[in-house]
Amino acid sequence: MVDDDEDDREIFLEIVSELDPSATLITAINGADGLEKLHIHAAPPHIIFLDLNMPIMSGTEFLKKIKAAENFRNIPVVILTTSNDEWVIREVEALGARDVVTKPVKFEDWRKVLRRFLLPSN
Amino acid sequence: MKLKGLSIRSRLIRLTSLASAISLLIVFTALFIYEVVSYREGTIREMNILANVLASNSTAALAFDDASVAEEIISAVKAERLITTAVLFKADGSILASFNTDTTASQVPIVIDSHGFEIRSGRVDGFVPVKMGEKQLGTLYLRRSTEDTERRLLLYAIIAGTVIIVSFLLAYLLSSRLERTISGPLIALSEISVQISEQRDYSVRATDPADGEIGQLKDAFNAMLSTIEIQNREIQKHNQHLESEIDERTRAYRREKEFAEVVVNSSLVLIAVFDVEMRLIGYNDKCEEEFGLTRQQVLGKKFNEIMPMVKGTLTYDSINRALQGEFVHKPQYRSSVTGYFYESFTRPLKNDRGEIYAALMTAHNITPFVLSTNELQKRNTDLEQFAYVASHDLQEPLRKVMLFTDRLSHELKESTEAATLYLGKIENAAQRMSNLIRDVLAYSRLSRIEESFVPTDLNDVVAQVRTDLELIILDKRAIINSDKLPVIFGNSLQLHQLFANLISNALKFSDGVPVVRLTAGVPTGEELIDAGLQPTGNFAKVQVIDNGVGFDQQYAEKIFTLFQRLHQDKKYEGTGIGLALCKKIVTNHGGSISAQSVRGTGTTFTVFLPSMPLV
Repeated sequence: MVDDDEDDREIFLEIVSELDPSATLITAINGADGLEKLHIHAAPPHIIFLDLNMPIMSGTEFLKKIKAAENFRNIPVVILTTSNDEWVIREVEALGARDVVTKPVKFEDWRKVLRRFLLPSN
Repeated sequence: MKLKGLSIRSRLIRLTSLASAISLLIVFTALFIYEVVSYREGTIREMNILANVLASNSTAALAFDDASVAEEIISAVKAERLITTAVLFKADGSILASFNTDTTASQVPIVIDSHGFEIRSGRVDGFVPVKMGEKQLGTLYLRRSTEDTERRLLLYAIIAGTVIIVSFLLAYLLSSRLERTISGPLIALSEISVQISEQRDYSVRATDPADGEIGQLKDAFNAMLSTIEIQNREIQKHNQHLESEIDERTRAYRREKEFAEVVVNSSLVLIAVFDVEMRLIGYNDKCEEEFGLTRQQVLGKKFNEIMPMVKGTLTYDSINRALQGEFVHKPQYRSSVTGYFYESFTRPLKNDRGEIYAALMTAHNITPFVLSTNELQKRNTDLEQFAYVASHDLQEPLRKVMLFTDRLSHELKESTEAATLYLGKIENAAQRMSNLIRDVLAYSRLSRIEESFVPTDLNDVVAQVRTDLELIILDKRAIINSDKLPVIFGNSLQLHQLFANLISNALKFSDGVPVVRLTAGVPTGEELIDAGLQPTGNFAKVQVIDNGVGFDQQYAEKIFTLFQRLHQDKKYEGTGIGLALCKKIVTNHGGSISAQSVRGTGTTFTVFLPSMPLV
């Protein structure tokens, strides 16, 4: 998960470990950090949750970079954003994002979103 | 006689005098010749008679050879004074008797010369035989002086000469008197014509009394003068009329020129005219003021000579293009001469034959406008950027408030009623604020993003809106009817937002079962004018009609302003941004929106949108 918001990272971690204790969640605080961590870890992640508004390197930029990289191109990317700006949504969809999700304001909704992407069989 | 170059008067006098002199001369010459001839004949005849008488008287003296008798007989002729010499020869040739009184001529002839008389110089003389029967007894010689004849002829010549001179003088006097009757009127005519040609006064007339051909000539001359005078008067009248007309036109032209100059010079717009050689031929006061150069300094000079920096600039190019017949409009450019911003219009000026003879450039200084617009744009952009960023950044902590309120309420499962109530209030307030921020964000985003405008089918837009509002529609059991809607030249996202707002408003402000009707049509010119649009433009008219609670018509314009809300009632809660957003969207499209409402009956929103690309 690439997000500069600490609270969101914590909530995310809490829900992931609750849904699948065996899953490994790697967090990064911005796009640049995300790219670095992608290169450090031997195995590429199964899915990337990406925030858009971040300092240093934005989500959009990060998305462009990994879509351009042979190794990471096929990793599904889910955009998590507070924005409901249609133009932003269109842009990231055009860049190859799997889905765009508005960050929920209720804990239960967070859980629903993660369940949808992490446990597709349910 | 030379007549050329002489006046008619001298010619007439000379002709008359000459004619009379010649005729007198001829007459006197003829008479003189006659006189001479008749005198000669008479003299010879007289001499013959005298000689024959003497001869017959002398026969006896000869026959008797009587010298004294002979002398007596011969002397008898002495009585005739003019007979100067007489000689009586005997038959043998000797002189019997003689006398001679001639002192001038030679002595008496010795030898008988011939018979008959002859006139010689100064005398007449000759021989006659003296016969008795058939027998010649001797010869008689007579000589006569011609002195008398010469005197007579001299007298004759003197008389003739005198007569000729007197006659000539008389003829001269007479002709010089008579010629006045002929030449007088002619000279008068001639003098009058000279006077007329010198003074150009055609009112003068020939007045000398004259008759005959000269009278006719005078009359014809006067008639001609009258005609000329009448024509002259007409010409003068016509000329005066023409002159006054020219004067009037000149004054009118001057007035118009002054009027035009005043108008041109009081213009706040720069006006300059360039001929085909790019020389300045017009330049108003505003130009003087703006460029700091007077008319005297620039008129007639080439533009690039006065201001070398203009060469190759937009202004220079505009003039060149106008001289090629183009109408050039430069909405905004910066002058290389003054450094100010201008808007200019440059057009060709054509003469009667349609040929371009100049380019007219009008320009106005838009610097304050450009600066304020730039400033305004910058400020607006800043403001919108600020609103966008602020709204976005405000959204984050708010979401946290809501998120952790939610978590807190889960943690406090067994909380007091009061705690639950307060948590609910926090949640509610946060939600309202979130909506507000969302709408402000949407509003500011409208100006932030450059939209692409394409033909957009409103039927598709409304169908999408219906899908989005499906839950509310079902919940309220609302009925939405729609005519076939037009295709609009616009942006589908904005149009979606517009109709979503209008329809959700209709659903929201309703107490019973909402019935919403969408109608489509073509607006009349009057409707467009009322809406502040070009009556000739291509617009579609779409109305959203509801049966909701409505509002007082007095608020019909107010509702479109930002944060304007008419209802306190909690169930009609809103951010007060929706209709402002609608108005902004419609304005973005070059259209217009208005509302007509009756409280308790319903509201009709009327939207005019361009159905064709706006050029």
